[in-house]
Amino acid sequence: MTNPEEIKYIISDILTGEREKFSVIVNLYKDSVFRIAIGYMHTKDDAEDIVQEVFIKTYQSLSGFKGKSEFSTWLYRITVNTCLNAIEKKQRYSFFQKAEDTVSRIFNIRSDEKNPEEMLVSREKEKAVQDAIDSLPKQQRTAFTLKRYDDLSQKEISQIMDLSEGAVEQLLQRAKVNLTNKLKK
Amino acid sequence: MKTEQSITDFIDSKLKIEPNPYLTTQIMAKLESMEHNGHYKLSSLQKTVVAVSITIVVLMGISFGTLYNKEKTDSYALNINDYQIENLQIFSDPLVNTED
Repeated sequence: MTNPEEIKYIISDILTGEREKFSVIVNLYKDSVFRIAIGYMHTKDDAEDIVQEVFIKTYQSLSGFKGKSEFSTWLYRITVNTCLNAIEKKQRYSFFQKAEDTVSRIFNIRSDEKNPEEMLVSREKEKAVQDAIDSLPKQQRTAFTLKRYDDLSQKEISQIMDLSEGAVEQLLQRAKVNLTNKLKK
Repeated sequence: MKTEQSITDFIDSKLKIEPNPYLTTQIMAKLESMEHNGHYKLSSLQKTVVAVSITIVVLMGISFGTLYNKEKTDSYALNINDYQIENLQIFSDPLVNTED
């Protein structure tokens, strides 16, 4: 990955009019942003929408990046906030979303799959895990997603969430306990 | 242990999903089209100004509408110049001598 100094040079080039250099930043971070987005949104289409939104927001507010924190920390903060906003928006239409999910699940059970019953059971298991993750409190969910989907260190997570490392550790522990309790039911 | 495994399996299945290889191109194209279309967001001050302007226009419309008052058209203001009109009394009153 490019070092912070190089990123600063790229950003100053973009701000002086070399817009095409933004593609370097997109290429460097799109996979990480996508992994975090899929951790929150669970589907490819939604995650790709988030990636687009994140990079557009980043481009528009690039002049506001002062370099106090690392660029990646700043970008991941934008990603987390964009995902949380998208989830809130989605929850407003949750009734229609649930209906859509049910219909898509029914039609996604293809006849050529070897064992439809097994497929159904594994889909139900997936759904249970997804619901358990979705039901975590915001901060626990953020810490869990950053840790498990993008394999970030506790230090990086603490910088993104603006918390101490100890607090992140606690959030991860609580998330684990909550998920275990919910899945045992 | 089993629940931890199911969480790990779920996350692994999600991490296998790869983003669209043209995602960078799409993002850059979107940024370019936004700049060409002069895409900008209205600030809250601009929104307020627009809302206040619309309200003023509507209120002005209502006040101009109520300025018109039918009662103010005075009957004596209708001044018909009738000196060329025949006096109807000539035809209706038998006592009036119509002969020269």
